Amino acid sequence: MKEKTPKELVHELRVHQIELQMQNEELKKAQLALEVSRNKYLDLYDFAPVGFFTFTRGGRIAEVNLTGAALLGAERQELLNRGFGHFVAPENLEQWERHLVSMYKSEEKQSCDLALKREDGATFHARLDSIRLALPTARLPDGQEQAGVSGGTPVVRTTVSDITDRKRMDENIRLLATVVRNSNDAVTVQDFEGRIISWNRGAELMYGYSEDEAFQMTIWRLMPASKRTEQEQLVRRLRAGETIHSFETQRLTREGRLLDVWLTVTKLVDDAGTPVGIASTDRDITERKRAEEVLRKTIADMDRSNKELEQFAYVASHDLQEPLRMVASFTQLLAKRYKDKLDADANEFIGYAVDGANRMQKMINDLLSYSRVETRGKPFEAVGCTAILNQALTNLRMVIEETGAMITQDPLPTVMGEESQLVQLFQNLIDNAIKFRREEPPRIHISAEDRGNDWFFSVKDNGIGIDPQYNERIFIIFQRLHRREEYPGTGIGLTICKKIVERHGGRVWVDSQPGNGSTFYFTIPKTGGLRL
Amino acid sequence: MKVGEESRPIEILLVEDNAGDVRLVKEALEENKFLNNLHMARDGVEAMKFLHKEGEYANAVRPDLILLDLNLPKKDGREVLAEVKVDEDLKRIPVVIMTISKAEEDILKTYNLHANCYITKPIDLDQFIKVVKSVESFWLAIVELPPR
Repeated sequence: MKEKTPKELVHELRVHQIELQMQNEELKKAQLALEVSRNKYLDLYDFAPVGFFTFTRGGRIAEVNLTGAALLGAERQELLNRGFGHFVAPENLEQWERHLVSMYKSEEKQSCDLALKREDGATFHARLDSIRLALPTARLPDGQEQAGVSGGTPVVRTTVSDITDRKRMDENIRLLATVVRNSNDAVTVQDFEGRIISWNRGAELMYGYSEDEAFQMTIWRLMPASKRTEQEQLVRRLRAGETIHSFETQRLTREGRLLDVWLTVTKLVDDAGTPVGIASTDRDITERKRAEEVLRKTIADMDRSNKELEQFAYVASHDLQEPLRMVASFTQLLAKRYKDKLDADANEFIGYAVDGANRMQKMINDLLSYSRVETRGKPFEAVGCTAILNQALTNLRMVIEETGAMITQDPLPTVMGEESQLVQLFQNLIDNAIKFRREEPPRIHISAEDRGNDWFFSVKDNGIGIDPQYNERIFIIFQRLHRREEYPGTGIGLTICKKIVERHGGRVWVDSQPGNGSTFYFTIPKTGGLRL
Repeated sequence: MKVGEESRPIEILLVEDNAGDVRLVKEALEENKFLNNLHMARDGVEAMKFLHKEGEYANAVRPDLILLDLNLPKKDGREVLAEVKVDEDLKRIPVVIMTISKAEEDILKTYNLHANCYITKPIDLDQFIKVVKSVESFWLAIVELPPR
């Protein structure tokens, strides 16, 4: 081979240099491309929406992306080489260890759900998905060998996702499903053709079809003929986008029994907002309707009986008094006209006849007042007892002045009641306290106490008192403990008191010893009594 | 013009079905000093015939005062009152309701029908006589009535 001339050598060298330069350029370009790609990968890795972890076989964190670090609430640098078990809730540790073992054993993806504890102590639910990579070795993008992954050791990557929200939602769905399943109401879902898609236990019990049977039929089987048009309209309106909430209708059971039901319907739409069917909650109100009907009848009966009583009271006040007046008037006329022609006996007889007629008239009027406590009762309203007592005292002014009665009172509450009746109640009790006085001027004290559900009133006097054996009897109509000559009156006062208190939902009673004064007690419920 | 001051007797129409009451009113009126003619109607239908001078009442006089019971056969006192008070010719005649009823609705209803006053018959004879006499003297001697 011929020796190359220096010129030739220089030329060759130049060519090599150029080639080398060109290669160098290529290499530089390739390296740049590699760097760009590595950065891309790193970004992807770090900002992926799930946490990426690489664990050592002992469960230490060899590698973690930024999302993973954020999930655990720590800096990436602090996490490296720490045992992941530190972040697992104690009750899940065993599961974690099992997962760690199995992720290296199988090539299949391994998953497990764990409660994880963040660095700050807060816990969340995480799903771990681990997969063993086929690569026998791995190098990290920065060229270092991956810790704990040397030689033929397989690489396992684990994603960690926060599933707290999903778990909560699942739990909610589970709870709701339990509620629906166990509801006594029939909860059903149907498509717009009426095919049944969902059928709970309540529906089984109410309509008598099992879930399996229901899936084989349409909702139309529950429709009585009279309600078919209603249902057609309902479906049409719901499909047209109208909102329908609740309404009352009727349904047929498997046995052909007609039920009154209260329906709450909701249109169901899919994710795209397209109507897909109707959810319906049906409540059996047959019993309630029946009870309402009974109540309505009872009220109507009571109204009628009240009207009859009213009619009776009117008859008593008018028609019964007419003949009575005749007896009284003509006996008196007899006495007047024939005074000189009659002897003392005759005049006495006439006196008894007139007295009897007068008393009977009083009793008739008393009976009338008694019956009117109920029949003329007005609705209750809040009334102040101080004003009521003052009215009663005003009505009794004459007798109070005549007897020099001293009447004192504690602060009195406002109660639910009928003003005029409560005035009469206080008036009758105070009138009695004055009437059955001893020699000394009557002293009467009225007080009221809060006893929780009731107001507890007392009217205490220093009068003649009552033998306890008559405690019940004094409240019975026309029952008297004294001769008329001693104490006038028909014996209606306390009976009317009792009726008034009872109409207000309370109780009245007396505590007394002969010669030691009496205290009358009565209660008035704060809610007001039963009113129909 | 007070009717009692004239020499002409006062014309009273008593509408009452109860013979006893009729007698008592007569007794009471006899004790009064006013000269009066008491005319009787035993039910509401008769009363209206009297007032309209129909049939056997063709020669009836127009009363100065009507004493009207409420509960009457055939046509009751409320109906009579209502008819009188809407009649252009009759409505100025004072109508005194005399009844045993103390029922609030009776009192309210009759005043709503423009009764001139409402009196509950006392059960006591002396009271009754006093009331009838008062009614007569009030309406016939104290009150100025429109000309006949």
